[in-house]
Amino acid sequence: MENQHSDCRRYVPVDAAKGICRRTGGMVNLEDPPCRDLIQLPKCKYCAGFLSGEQEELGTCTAEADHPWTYPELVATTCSWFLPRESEGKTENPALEQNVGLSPVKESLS
Amino acid sequence: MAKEIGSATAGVEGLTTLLSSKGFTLDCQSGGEAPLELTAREVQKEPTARAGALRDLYFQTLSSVSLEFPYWYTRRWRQLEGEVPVVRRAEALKMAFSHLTPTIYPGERLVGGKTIYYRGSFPMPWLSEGYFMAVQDQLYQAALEKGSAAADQVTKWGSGGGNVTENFGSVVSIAGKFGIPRQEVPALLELARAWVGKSVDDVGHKYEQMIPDYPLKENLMHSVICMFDSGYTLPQGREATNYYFPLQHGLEGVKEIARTHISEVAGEAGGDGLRGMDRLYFYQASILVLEGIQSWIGNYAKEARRLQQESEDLLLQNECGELADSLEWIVCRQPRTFREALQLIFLLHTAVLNEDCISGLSPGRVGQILWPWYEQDREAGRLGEMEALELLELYRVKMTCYDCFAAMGVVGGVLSGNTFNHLCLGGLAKDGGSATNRLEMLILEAGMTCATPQPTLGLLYHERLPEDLLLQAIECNKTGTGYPAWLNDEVARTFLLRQYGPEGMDVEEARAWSVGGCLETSPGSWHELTLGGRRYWIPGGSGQPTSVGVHFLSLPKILECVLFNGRDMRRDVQIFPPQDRPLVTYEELWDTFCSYFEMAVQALCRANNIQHDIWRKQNMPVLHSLLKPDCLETGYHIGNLGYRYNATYNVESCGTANLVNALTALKTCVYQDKSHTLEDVRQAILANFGFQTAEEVGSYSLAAQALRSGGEVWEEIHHDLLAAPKYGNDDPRADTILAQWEQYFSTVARRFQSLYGFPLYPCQISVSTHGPMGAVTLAGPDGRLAGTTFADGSMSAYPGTDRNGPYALFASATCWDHSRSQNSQMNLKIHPSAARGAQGARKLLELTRAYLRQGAFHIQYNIVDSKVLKDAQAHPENYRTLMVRVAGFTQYWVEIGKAIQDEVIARTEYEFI
Repeated sequence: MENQHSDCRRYVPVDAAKGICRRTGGMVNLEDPPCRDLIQLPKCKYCAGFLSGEQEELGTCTAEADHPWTYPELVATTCSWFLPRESEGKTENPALEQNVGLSPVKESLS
Repeated sequence: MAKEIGSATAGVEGLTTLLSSKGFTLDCQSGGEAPLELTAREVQKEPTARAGALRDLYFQTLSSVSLEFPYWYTRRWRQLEGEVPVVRRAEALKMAFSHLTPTIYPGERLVGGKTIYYRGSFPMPWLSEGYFMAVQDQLYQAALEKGSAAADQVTKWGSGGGNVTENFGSVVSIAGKFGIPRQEVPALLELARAWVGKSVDDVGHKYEQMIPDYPLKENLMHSVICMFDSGYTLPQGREATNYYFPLQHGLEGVKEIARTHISEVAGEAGGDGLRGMDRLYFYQASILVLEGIQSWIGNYAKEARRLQQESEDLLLQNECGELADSLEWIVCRQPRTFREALQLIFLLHTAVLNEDCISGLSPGRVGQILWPWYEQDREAGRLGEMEALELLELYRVKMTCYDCFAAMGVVGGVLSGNTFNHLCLGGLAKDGGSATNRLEMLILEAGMTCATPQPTLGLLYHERLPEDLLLQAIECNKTGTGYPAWLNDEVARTFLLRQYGPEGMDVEEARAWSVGGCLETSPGSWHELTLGGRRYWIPGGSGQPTSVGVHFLSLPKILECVLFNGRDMRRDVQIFPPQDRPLVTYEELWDTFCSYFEMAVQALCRANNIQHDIWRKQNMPVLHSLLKPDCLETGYHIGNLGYRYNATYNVESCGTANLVNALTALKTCVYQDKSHTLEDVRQAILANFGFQTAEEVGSYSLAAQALRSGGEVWEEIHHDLLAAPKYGNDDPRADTILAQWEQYFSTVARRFQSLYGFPLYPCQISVSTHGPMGAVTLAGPDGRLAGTTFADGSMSAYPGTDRNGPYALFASATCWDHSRSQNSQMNLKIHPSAARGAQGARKLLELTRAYLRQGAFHIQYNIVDSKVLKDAQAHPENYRTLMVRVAGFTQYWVEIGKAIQDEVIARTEYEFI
C-alpha cells in the first residue's frame, strides 16, 4: 500500500477528502502521494499487531487478546496496543505518555 | 399592488396569470413595492482575522464521516457480554472517547470536535443500522470505483455547501449528505453488521409490532402522515443541557461525588424496590464515562503540548502552551478563567453529542452561566472585551462545525442539516429581576460579527429587559441571520407551570427555562455556583428531551384521508378504517377529522413508547444523565426518571395554516354557500385543479404551478376555494376555526401518555417537514396544489394569502391561548428597506412588542430581499455564505433543499412595517 498525505503526522485532517499540511500550510488531497518529508502517523496498518484480512480494507488486531477486527486506516495515536513494526518487544504504545509517530518515514517503514 | 411570486413553465399558463385575469392575486409583497434593484442587508460586520480564517475553513469543508468512535465503542461493547447494561455502555463510551484522535487546527484557541475531522460526525449503529444494510451493495460498488480527486472535482465543493451530494474521487457519498473515504466503507459495513438484530431500531421494531394498531402505524409512516420514529433516530435533544456540576466541582470533583455515593448505595434498595439497586451501577458507570472524557480532553492537551514543542514560531509556541495549560487544568478542576470555562462547556457539549444521536441540544443561557468568570476576569484585568468577543466568535465557529448523523430521511428531510444548538439571552433571574448582563451584549455582537448558523440565538423577552439589549437584538436581526428569535417569557412560564407543576415546579424554578432546539420550551433549574469566594445562581436544563413521542403529524394529509374515506389516494392505500359517513355537515367533517387524528396519535404514541423504552434500557445516556439534576444526587439515570422534569414527550404538528384554510374553505363553499359539493371538491383535488404536478413544473411553491392542457374546467372551483377566507387576515371566519383546532389539540394531546406515564402536549413547529410532507400530499381544499410545500411553522400564513398587513396577521395568530402549547411559530419576511436606519429599527422593535404583548409565544424575521434569494437559487456558487431563517433555525441557503428554498422565496415579503 503506497503512502499518502493522510499517513503523515503533519497532515491535519479537515474532511474525508483533504487536509492541511502543517509544513506548507496548504491544503492537500488525502490520497495524493506525500512529499519526501513524510513523518509516519501511527495507524493500524503500521502496527506489528496488525494482520491483513482477505479484504484489503479490513484486518485483525492481534495485540489484544480476543483479536478484534480492525481496519488499516484507523489512526492509532491514542491506542495503547500500538507497536511500530520495527520496535519488537514493546508492549505499550508510548502515545498516551509522549509524542508518537514522530519517527521519520525512513526509520519506520520496512 | 400585487406582484406574482414565481413564473410558470414557459408556454404554459401559470396560476398567478390565471388568477390575475380574474382580478385575484396571490401577493408576495405586502404594504408597498420593493425596490427594483437587489437590496443588500443593512447591517454587515466582520469577525476577527483568526475567527474569519477558521470560518473560511468551514466553508471549504465537506460534511464527513469518521469511524473512530463507533469502531472503539463496538469493539469494547462486544467484549462485555453479560455486564450490567449501563456499565457495559459506559465502558464502551469510555473506550470510544479515549481513542478519538485529537485534531487541533491552525489558529484555534478553542479546541475539540466530535471526530478527527473539522465537520465530522458518525453513525451510531447501536441505534439503527438498517440503512447501511439496505444499501451495502451500492456502497461497496462505490468504494471499488477508485479514482483520484482531480482538481476540477475539488472546485465543485462549493456547490451544495459542505454536503457531499455524490461520489467523487476518493470519497463515497452517504445519503447525499456525508462523505467517507472509500477505504473505510468496508469497515462501516462491518460495524453495521455487528448491530443487526441488536440495535434499538431492530429490538424496538420486534416489540412495536405487538401493538394492536401496528398496521395503522406502518401505514402512517409509509404515507408520510407521520415523518419519523423518535426512539432510534433522535432520542434526545430539543432540550437545554446543564454544565453546573463540572463547572462547580471540576470533572474530578464530580467523580468524587459518584464515589462517595457508591459507598452509600451499594447493596441498598433505599426504599425503592424497582430502581434502588440500580444506583450503584449508575454511579460506577458515571465514573467510567468521566474517565473517558478526561482521557479525551487530556489527549487534546498532549496534542497541544506536542505542537508547542514542534513549532519553531515563538508566537505559536506560546499559544499552544497556553492551550495545553488550560486543557491540563480543566481535565480535573474547576475552570479558573472565562476562556477555560468556555472551553469546558464546549467540550462537555460535544461529549454529550457524541454519547447519543441528538439534534437540538441547547447550551442554555450561556451569558448567565459564564458570567461569574467573565465578571471576575474583567475585574482582575485578565480579559479585555475584544478578547472575549473573539472567543465568542470562535465558539460560534466550533458550534457550527457540529454535524448530526441521524437516521436517513431525518437529516435532510426534517433537519435540513441543522443541529439547532439554541443559546438563550434575557429572561428572568431566580429572584424575578432581569437576568441579562454585559456578556449577553457581547454574545449578540459575536452573532453579528461572526454570523454562523450555530448557536442560533433566542431572546427571552419580558418588559423589564433594557432598551439597549432590545435594540442590539434588532440590529442583529437586521444582519439577516434570522436570530435572535423573540420568545415570550411569560407565556413560556405559564406553560411550564401547567405542564411541570405536578412534578414540583414552582414560580421561581419556572424562570430558569430555556429554549431547546428550534423553539421547544424546556424546563430548567437553578444552582448556586461559587467562584472566587462569591456566589451566583446560574440556570441550566433539568428536563428530559422534548419533541420525542409523536413526531410531526401532517394535518393536511389527515384531512385528505377524511375526504377520501380513510384512503391515501396518492399511493392508493387504505390508511384509516373507512368511516363511510356522508359528511353532510361541517360538524361531521370535523368529528371525522378528530377521529382520524386521535387514531394516528394513539398508534404512534404506543409504537414510540416501545422504542424509547428499549432505548432507555439499552442506550441510556450516562454523561448527560449525570450532568442534569437530579441524577447525580439520586443515583437514577434518565431512564429511571432521574431528571427533575419528565413530562416532556409531545405531539408535533405540521401544516396548521393549510388545515385551517382548508377547513374554512370547505365550511364556506360546501356547507354555507353550497357553491360546490364535497364531491366536486374531491374530483377537483384528484385532478389537481387541472394543473401539472410540482415535480413536472420543477417548483414547489403554489404560485409557480402551471395549468395542464384542458385544465380550465377546474378553474372556477379552484378560484372559489382560493378566494375563501384565509388565516392571517384578522377574519373571524378563518380565525374561529384556528381557535377551535388549538383548543382541541391542546386538550386531546393530554389524553395520551408517554412511556413515563405523563401526559403529552402540543408542539407546533414544522422544522423542514412542511417540504416533504407537502410533496406527498394531494391538492387541498385551500387551493394548494399537489406536491407543493405547506406553510412553515404554525402561525405563519400560507405564502401570499396574508393580505391585510402584519397587524392583521398578529390578530389572527393570537386568537387562542399560546400558553396551552409548548410553542407556536411565526416567521415573517421583511424587505431590508422596511427596517432601514434607526427609525426602521424602532419600528421593528415596536412590531415585535405588539405581537408578544398580544400573548404570542414567538416571532422571528427573515430580513432579506426575495430577489436575492431567487438569484441565490439560480447562482448558488455566488452565495456560499448566505443564511436564511427557515423555521426555528438558520441555515446556509446552499445547504437546504429546493422545496424549502421555494417556500422561503414565496413567503409574503413585507415592504412596510
